[in-house]
Amino acid sequence: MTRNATLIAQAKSSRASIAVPAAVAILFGVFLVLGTGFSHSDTIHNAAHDSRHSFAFPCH
Amino acid sequence: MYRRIFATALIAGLLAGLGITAIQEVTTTPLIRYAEKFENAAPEAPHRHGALENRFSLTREARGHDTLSPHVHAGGEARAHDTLSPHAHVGGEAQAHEAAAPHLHAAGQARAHGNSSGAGGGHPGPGTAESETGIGPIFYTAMANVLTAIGFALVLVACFALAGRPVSGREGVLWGIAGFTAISLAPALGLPPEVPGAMAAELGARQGWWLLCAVATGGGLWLLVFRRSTPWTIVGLALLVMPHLVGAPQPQELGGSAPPEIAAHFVAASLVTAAVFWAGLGWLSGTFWNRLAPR
Repeated sequence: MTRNATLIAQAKSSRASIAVPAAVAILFGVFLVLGTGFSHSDTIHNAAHDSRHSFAFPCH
Repeated sequence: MYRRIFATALIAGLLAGLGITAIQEVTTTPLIRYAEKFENAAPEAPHRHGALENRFSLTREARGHDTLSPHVHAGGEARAHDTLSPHAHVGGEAQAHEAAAPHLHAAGQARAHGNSSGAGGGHPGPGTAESETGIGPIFYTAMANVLTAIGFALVLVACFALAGRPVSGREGVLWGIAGFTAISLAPALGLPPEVPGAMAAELGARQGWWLLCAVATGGGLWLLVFRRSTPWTIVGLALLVMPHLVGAPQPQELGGSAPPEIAAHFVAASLVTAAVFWAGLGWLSGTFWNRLAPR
C-alpha cells in the first residue's frame, strides 16, 4: 500500500518534471522558428530569404 | 530533463541545419536564383518601371512604396514592412496590386538591402559582390537553417519527452515524418511552396493560416497516435481537415513571373528537401535523445 502510494507520488512528480521543461523547450523552439521564418524585420527577412523559400514558409 | 532536451535539440538542430543547407544548394537554391532572374527582368511590364528606375538609387528613405510602385498608393495603408522592403505588400487593398505587380525583387532590392542592413545581411541579387563570392548568402542561409532546425528540434524533442516512451534513431524518423506532415506537407495543400515572384495573398493572412494548419495538423496527429479512443480519433481527424475547410488565403489573380515549369519544379524540390530534412532531424534527435538517456 505504502509502496503503491510512493509509486503514484513518483509518477506525479516525474510527470511535472517532464511537462515543465517540455513546455519551456516548445516555447523556445516556437520563438526560434517564428523569429527566423516569420519575422517581418527586413534584415531578418533578407538573411533568411532562401531558407524561408526552401522551407516553404509564407514569404514576401 | 532540461539538459537532455536542450542538448539533444542543439546537436540535432545544428547538424540537420548544416546538412540541409548543403542539400538546398543543389535542390531549391538554384531554382530560387533562376526564378529571381524572371522576377528581376520583365521590363515589358509597365508597372515595374518604378522599381527599375530606382534600382541604382534605392535608399531606406527612398524605398517608400510610393516610389517603388506608383500604382499602389490608392491603398495608402503601407505598413512598416512595406516601407522597409520593396516588395510593396500592402494590406487588403494591395491584393489587386499584388496581382498586378509581384514583389519587386529586382537587383535593386539586393542593393537596397545592403543600404538598409549596413552589415550586408541580405540575400544579394545577381551582380553584387556577395553573390560573386558566393560566401555571403550561403552563410546567412546556413545560419537561418540552423536556427530554424534547432527550433523544430526543440519542439520535436519536447514531444519525445511528453510522449514518455523510448525513442531511438529509428523511431525518431517516424517522428520526423510526422513533423514533415505537420510543417511542410499539410500547409503545402493550401499554400504551395512559392518561388520568388509568385502571386500570393497578403503575407500576414498566409502566415496566420500556415500557423493554424501546422498546429492543427500536429495536434490532430498526436491525438490519432496517442489517444486511441473513438471520440479522440474523431477530434484528431477533424483537426487534420479543419484548416483546409477554413481555406488558405489565395491570390486574386494568377500569373507569377517565373515559368510554371520552374514553379512546379520548385514545389517538388521544396517538399523533397523538407522530407529529407525532417527524416534527418528525426533520426538525429532520436539518436541523441537515446544516447543522453539517464543510465
